[in-house]
Amino acid sequence: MMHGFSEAQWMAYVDQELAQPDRARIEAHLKECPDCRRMCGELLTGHRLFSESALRLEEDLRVADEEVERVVALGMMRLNEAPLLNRIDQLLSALAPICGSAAAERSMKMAALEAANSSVHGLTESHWPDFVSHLSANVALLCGCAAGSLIARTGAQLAAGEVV
Amino acid sequence: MIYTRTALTAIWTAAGAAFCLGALRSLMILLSHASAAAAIREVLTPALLLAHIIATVLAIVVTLDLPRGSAMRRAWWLMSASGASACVRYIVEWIAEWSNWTAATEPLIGIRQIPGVVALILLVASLSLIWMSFARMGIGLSLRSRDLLAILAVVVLLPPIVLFRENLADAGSMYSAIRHMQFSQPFLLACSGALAIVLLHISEEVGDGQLSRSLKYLAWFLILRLVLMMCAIVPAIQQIVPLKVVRGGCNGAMPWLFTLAIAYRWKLVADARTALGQVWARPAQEVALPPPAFMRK
Repeated sequence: MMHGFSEAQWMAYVDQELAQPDRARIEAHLKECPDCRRMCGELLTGHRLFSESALRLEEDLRVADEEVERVVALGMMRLNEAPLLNRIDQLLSALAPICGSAAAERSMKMAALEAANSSVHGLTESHWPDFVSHLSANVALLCGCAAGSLIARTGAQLAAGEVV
Repeated sequence: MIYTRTALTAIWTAAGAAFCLGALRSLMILLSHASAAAAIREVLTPALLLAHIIATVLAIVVTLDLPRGSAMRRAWWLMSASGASACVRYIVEWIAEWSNWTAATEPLIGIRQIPGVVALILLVASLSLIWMSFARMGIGLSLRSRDLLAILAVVVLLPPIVLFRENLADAGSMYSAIRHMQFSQPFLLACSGALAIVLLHISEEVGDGQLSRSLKYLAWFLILRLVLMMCAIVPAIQQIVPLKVVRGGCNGAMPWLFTLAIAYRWKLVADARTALGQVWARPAQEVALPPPAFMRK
C-alpha cells in the first residue's frame, strides 16, 4: 500500500485499466502528493519503454517466424528430394558396371531431358516413371533388353522405397 | 555368373594355346620341319573354325537381346552374318587342307575369297551401324587429334599393302573375280581399321565396364588383322625372322580375339539376365511404371 492505494491499483492506473472512481481519486491525490507524482511518472516512463520494446520484439519475432517458415520449407523440399537423388545414385551404380560410368551418366541425362526437359537434379517425384522408362529404353539400345529390363524393374522397386 | 566366367577363361586359354601353336608352327617352318608344321596346321584350322562358330553363336544371342528395329540390332545381325561367313571361309580352308590343295595346284581354292570378302563387307557395315547407334546418344562424335592421327596411321599402312598385293595368297588366281576380291581386302581392312580407332575412342568415352571391354577387344582384333596382313606381304618385314614367329602366333590367336570381343558382349547380356532374375525373385512391392518403349513394341 502507498498513500492508501494498493500496488495493483497503481499498476492498473498506469495501464489505463483502472475504473473511473478510483482513477479520479488517484488523480486528485497526485495533484497534492509530489512523491506519488514522481513515482507515477517513473512508472509511466517504464511502461512506455516496455511497450515500445515489446512492440519491437513482436516485430522481430514476426520476421523470425517468416525466416523459420522459409527454412522449414527448404528443409522439407530437401527431404523430399533426398530419396530421389538416392534412387538416381542407386540406378547409376547398377548401370555403371554394365554400360560404363560415362555412358550411364549420359543415358541418365538424356532420359531426364526426355522425361522432364531438365537435368537429372531437376527431376521430381512425378517425373520418375517417365524417367525410368526413357532410361531403360536408352540402356536397351546400348546394352540390350535384359539390361534395359533390369533398370526398369530396379526403378520400379526403388520408387516403392525398397533398398536395392 | 560363374558359367560366363568359365566360358571366358576357356576362350582365353584357347587364344593362348592358339598363339603358342601358331608360333610353334612358324618355328617349325623356319627349322624346315615341314611335317611338324603340317601337323600343327591340322589342329589350328579347325580351332580357327571353332573360334568363329563360337563367336557367331554368341553374336546371335547378343542380337536377339537387342530391341527390335534398332540400328544396334541390325549391326549385330550383320556381325553374326560376318561370323557365319568367316566360318564358311574356314570350312573351305579345312577342305583344301584335307585335299592337299594349294593355290598353285587347285585354282578352286580361290573360292575362299568369296566368304572372306563377304565377311569383311558385313563387318564394316556392322561397325558403321554400331558407331551410328552410339552417335545417336552423342557418343563417339568428338574424335580427338590423337584418334585422327591413328586413323591416318591406318591409312598409311594401306599403300605398302596395295604395292605388294601380288604377294597375297590368291593374287595369282586364274579367275579375275577372285583376284579382284583378294585385292579389295586391304581396302576393306583399312576401313575396318579406321572404324576400330573410332571404337577405341567410344570404349574410352563410355567409361570402364563390360561394354567398353568388348569394344576394345573388337578394335584390337581389327587393328591386329590389318597389321598382320601388312607383315605377311611386305618383303622387308617378311624377312625379319623373330617377327615371323610372333606373326605366326598372332595369326593363330587373332580369330580368338574376335571371339573374346563377342564373348565379353555376351557376358554383359548373361550378367544382366542373371541380375534381372535376382531382382524378379525378390519378393517385393513395387510401383507400377509404364513399360519402356522397347517392351511395348
